[in-house]
Amino acid sequence: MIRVQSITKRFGDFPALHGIDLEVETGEFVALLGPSGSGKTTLLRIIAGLEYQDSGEVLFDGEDVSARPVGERRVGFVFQQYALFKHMTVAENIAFGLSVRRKGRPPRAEIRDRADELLRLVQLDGLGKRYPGQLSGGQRQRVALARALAIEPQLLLLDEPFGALDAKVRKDLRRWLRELHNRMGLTSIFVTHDQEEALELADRVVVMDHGKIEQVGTPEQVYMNPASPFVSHFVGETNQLPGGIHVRPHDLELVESGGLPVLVDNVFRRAGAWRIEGTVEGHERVVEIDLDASRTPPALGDTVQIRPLRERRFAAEQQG
Amino acid sequence: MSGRMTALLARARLRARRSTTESRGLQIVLITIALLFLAFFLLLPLVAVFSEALKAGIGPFLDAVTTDDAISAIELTLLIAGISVPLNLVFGLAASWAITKYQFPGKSLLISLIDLPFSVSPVVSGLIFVLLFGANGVFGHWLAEHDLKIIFAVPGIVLATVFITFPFVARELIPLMMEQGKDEEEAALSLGANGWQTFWHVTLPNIRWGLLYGVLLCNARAMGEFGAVSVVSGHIRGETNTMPLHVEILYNEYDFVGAFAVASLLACLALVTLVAKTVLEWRFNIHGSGKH
Repeated sequence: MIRVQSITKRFGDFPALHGIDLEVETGEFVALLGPSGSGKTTLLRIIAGLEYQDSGEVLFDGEDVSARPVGERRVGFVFQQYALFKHMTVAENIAFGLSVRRKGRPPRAEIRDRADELLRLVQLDGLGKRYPGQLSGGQRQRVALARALAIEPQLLLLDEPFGALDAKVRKDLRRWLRELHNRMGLTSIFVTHDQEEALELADRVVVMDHGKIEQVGTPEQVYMNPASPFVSHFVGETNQLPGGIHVRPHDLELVESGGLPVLVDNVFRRAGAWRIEGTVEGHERVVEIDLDASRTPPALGDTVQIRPLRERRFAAEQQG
Repeated sequence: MSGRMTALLARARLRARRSTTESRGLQIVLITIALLFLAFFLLLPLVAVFSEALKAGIGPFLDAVTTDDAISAIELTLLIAGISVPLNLVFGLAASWAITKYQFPGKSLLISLIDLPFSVSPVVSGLIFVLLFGANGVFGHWLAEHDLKIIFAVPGIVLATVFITFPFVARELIPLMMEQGKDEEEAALSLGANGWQTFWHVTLPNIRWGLLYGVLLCNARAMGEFGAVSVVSGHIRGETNTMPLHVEILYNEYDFVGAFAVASLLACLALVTLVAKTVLEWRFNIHGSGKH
């Protein structure tokens, strides 16, 4: 079990993290989700030992590892830009962690076998002699993963693992990573700014903003019961209606009368639904509404009446 | 279909030429100017050096470069380069490492200081050491008491040369290491490598061509430096005369064949450096782009 206790970190005048507490169970797949500057990468690097906190502790299985450098924490770290060693072959990259071992370094043949085995695991058999420059983005990503797994880490940390890939590859790799995590019984934490990625992959999502944790919960909890306006807006889409009401586009229905009047500005098809964009009369605010695809959508310039099916208000905003 | 494709490509090429290329006539003029300039300022002097050196035939040339004084000058030059280049290799590496991998106060000051020898006249560089270590200098009295000679001796020449040549390696490495960042080093550390293994297996291979290039330039300058060395050496024949100083002495004594013969050796060094530099740049580009 990984435990982080009241971690704070400043970079000069910039407070990157203040008072972070987090627990990650063995075998869990946790996403650190937040916009850039929210401190998510800093937290990941502190857990890894690539950065040191100003105060607070990092505990691995109850043991304080705060003073240990990254090399002694047995963490596998996958960098955003992969950070593969350009001048080494794929096999040498994967074998690196084993071949620099000073105590108990396995014999050469064993290291080679292990590298082959990992190449198979990441479905790159036969590419061991290539150089990173000769691989595609998705293949490099998998080499980076194999290299991190070679040291049999007790914790796998991934910084924006799919950030540099195109949409199709990203989707395939995501599913594959999830499978790998389950199959190998890993404990993994990954950083992302993509809420869809976090909701799809993670057992639990940690939503961060401005160096603080806004909410920790399952994807279901975070999406359905956002703890703050920030979470509501950052995870999934949210309309903010007059009177401090927050409501998801798919939680709005059109009614004949008695609803909130909205002037329709735009109507387009989005996957299995119509997406209607409009403005509330007398407000600047844009409202997005999802309408079942089997219904006839309103025309541009119509005024429709909307009513929330499920809405949220947040205590901090009650006065507004 | 393919006809249309060709037409499209041709049009694209035309557009590219219009926006980025000068007219043919202007191109020829520019290239001619550049070539004439090169021929006049570089090629002609080079040819002159060799033809003057070999004017009286190969015999006098060999005699001139094998006199006791000439050999002693060559030996001294090699010794000076042999000491100052490794020193600057270590210093350049350390400085680039510190500047690119750490944050510390005074960093921008250090970057400016590294460039100092480039912006100061070599004569002034030499004088600095005379002021510090000369008979009337800051440490002059103390040195005399302990019977240590720095100015007008080999240590002074080494000091001046190290000072003059220390920007070369660092200036080559700093932009290179900045561009590479520290991700790979962090990856190596996270995989359990210690500092030395990380440097040896990850950092050094990434910068090797740039490092060699810097060392090459540093060496060329160390062997060829005149101004600063001239101030601190005292021109003692057979003792503190380096090759460039020896050339000057011979020239002042109207021994033109001798002067040009030794000068041609220095010119050869320049040519070797040029070839090595070209080869390195070629390799550098291949490896720099991450392709093998």
